[in-house]
Amino acid sequence: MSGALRDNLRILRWSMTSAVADMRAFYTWKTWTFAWLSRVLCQVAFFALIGKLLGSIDHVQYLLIGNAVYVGVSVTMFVTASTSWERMAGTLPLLVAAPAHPFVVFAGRSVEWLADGLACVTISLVVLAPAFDVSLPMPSALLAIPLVAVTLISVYCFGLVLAGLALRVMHLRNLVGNVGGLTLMLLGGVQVPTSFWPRPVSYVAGLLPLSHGLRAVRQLLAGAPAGTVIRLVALEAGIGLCWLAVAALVFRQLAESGRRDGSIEFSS
Amino acid sequence: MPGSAACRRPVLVVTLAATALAMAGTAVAMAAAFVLHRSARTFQNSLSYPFYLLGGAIVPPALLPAWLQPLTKVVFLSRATELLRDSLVGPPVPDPGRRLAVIVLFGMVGYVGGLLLLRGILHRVRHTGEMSYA
Repeated sequence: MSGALRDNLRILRWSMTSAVADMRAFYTWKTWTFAWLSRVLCQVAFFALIGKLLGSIDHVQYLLIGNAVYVGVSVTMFVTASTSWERMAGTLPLLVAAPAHPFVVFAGRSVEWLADGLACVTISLVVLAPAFDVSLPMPSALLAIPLVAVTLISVYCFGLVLAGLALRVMHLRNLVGNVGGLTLMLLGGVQVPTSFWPRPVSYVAGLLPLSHGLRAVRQLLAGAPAGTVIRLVALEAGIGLCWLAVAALVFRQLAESGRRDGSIEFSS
Repeated sequence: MPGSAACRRPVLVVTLAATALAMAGTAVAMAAAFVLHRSARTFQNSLSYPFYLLGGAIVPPALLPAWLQPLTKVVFLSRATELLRDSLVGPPVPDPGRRLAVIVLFGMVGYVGGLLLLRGILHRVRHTGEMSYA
C-alpha cells in the first residue's frame, strides 16, 4: 500500500470517528428509538396506508418497499446539511491548508447518516411488511440489506455533490438537501415507477442514484433471477462512483476558488 | 333538503376556528416540551408523520390497525378532520355542538397543560441556575 493511500485512509478513518461522535451527540438511544424511529415507522406506514386506501395489495407492497428504502435516502441526504455544519465550526481554512485534500475529510465526515439510514430501512421492512401482509421471502430477503447499503452509499455520493454546492450558500443548506431528496423520491421510483414519467425525465432518473438500487430491492423481494438483481445493483454502484467523482471535482473547485478569492473563513 | 347546505356552512367555519384554537393550545404544550428537553430538534423532526397518521387528514383512522384506532380519539386533529369532512359532505352534521366542544376541550387541555409545564420549568431553572443565553 502506497504511503499517500495509507495516509488518506487514516484521515478517512478519523473523519468517520468524528461522524460517529456526532451521532452520539445528536441522539441518545432513547430519542433515536422512541422519537426518530417512531416517526420513520409512521412515515412508511402512512404511505402504505395510502396503498390500502387504493384497495390493492400490489399498491401496498409497492409503496411500502419504496418508502421503506426512501426513509434511508432522506436520512442519508442529511449529508448536505451536516457538511455545512463543519464549515460553520470554522475548520475549513485548516482543512484547505493541510497537505491532504479536504474532500477526504468531508467524504467520511457524515457517514453516521449511512448507518442511521440503513438501520431505519431494515427495521421498517422487518416491522411493517408483516403488519401490511407484504411477504418477505426468507432467507433471500436478507440480501436486501447489502443492496440497500449500496443504494444509500450511491445516494451519499450524490448528497456530497449537493453538499459541496451548499457550502457556497450555507443559509440554503436545508433547502438544497430537501430539494435533492424530494427529487430522488419523485423520480427514483418510490411512489410511482420511473416509466410513469415522460421518456426524457425517466432518462434523467436513470442517471440519478436510487432508481436502479430500489429496482434491485424490488426484484429481489419478487424472486427475480440473481443476474437481474446483480446487474441493477452494479449499475447503482457505477452511478454512485460517477457522483463521487463529481463530488471530488466540486470540492476541489471550492478549495481552489476559495484560495483565489479569499472566501475561506474561520467562522461563518 | 334546501336548508341543510346553509346549516352545514356555519359548522364548517366554526370547526375551522375551533381547529385553529386547538392547534394553538397543543402548540403551547409542545413548546413547553421543547424547552424542557435538550433534544428539541429531534422531537420537532419526529412529530410530523405520527400526526399525519393519527390525525386522519389523508388516511381515515378506520384503515389503521384496531389497536391503534383508540389513540386517534385523543388527537384533536382526527376529531377536527372528521367534523370538517362531515360539514362539507353528506347529510346534516350529527351532533356538531358536542363534537366542537370536544375539539376546543383538547385545545384547552394542551394550553393549560403547556402553561403549567412552562411555569414549572421556569421555576426549576430559576432555582437551579440552569438558565443560559444559548
